[in-house]
Amino acid sequence: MAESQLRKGALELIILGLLATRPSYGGELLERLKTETHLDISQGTVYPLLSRLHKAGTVHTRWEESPSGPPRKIYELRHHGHERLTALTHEWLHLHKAVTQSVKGIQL
Amino acid sequence: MRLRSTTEDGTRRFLGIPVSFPTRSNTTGKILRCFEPENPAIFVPRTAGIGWDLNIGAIAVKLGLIRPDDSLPDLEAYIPPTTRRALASAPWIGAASTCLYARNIARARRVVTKWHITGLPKRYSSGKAAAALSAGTSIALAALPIVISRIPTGNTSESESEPTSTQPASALDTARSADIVLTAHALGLQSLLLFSAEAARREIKHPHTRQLIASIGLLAAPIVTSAVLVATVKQALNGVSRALKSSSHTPASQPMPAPASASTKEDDNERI
Repeated sequence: MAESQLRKGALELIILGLLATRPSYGGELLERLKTETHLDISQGTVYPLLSRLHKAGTVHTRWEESPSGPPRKIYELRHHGHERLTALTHEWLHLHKAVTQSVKGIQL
Repeated sequence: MRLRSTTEDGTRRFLGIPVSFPTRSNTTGKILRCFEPENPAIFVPRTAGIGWDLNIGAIAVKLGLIRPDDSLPDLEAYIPPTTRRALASAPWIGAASTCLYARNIARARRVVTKWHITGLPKRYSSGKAAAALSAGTSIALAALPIVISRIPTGNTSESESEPTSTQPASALDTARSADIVLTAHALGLQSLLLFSAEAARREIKHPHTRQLIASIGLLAAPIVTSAVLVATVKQALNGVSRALKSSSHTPASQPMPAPASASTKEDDNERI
């Protein structure tokens, strides 16, 4: 449960990072999460987050033809999305430093 | 005891049960919750009242009929004009059909107005009252999208307003999508009224008999609503395909052709 909440909290940063390197459609993003970050995140988690980012104006969408099936909705970072990514990255690095410092004595 | 307000969608809760009060500013967003494919929750707080409604979008995704990102507000501008006209006229055709059926039962002295789920008669009423109720409800359902669309949108400073003001889909697309969801629900309920009226007509000829068509009517309502919404999404996706194909034939420097509705959008350059 705690692990799941921790991952959910970091998921926005991960998705923004992935979209910053390459705009992707939903299915591709799920695949990239698996292959590039080795995280198995369900579509029930990713799509509501993408929808929230879209509504907040962090990402925008465009349509692209698909070689098979209906057109794909491509998610792309907007200017505000890049700003949000920078802010979250700073926050994450600060948090990472704090966590690393606090757990460095723990024997695993 | 005061009702607690959630942070996510502004719906208040009492003992864990959602309680929705539609206001001028949040009605559209609450209507759209009934068809939200990106939301995996099957049950969503009701548009108005206590309890939950079905999220038909989530069900359609689970059945593999649409994808989670096939949201109606993003596709609305690509709905072909013929589909748009059909959606506008279908509830009035449904209302006219219900009125015709109502005429058949109006002359009867006693008509079934409520059925057991097994198809057996449960409650009776006079023919005139049953006909008036059936026809009146059907006409009200047809008029509902028009009435809702004419409610002026107030400011969003109320505590339970939803964060819809920053949506990339224009307010017009969002409002039209809510109209489509209402139309689909109206058609579903009209189909239920038609099945019930037909069952009542048959019961007049064969009193106190089981009418399975009344039970079928209960299933028809959600099926018709879902079919209308899924078909509209499919038609809109075809519209996107057509627009993409025609844009691929134009020079790269030119933008993608305007969608079918050619609606005014504040954020056109952020979309296709």
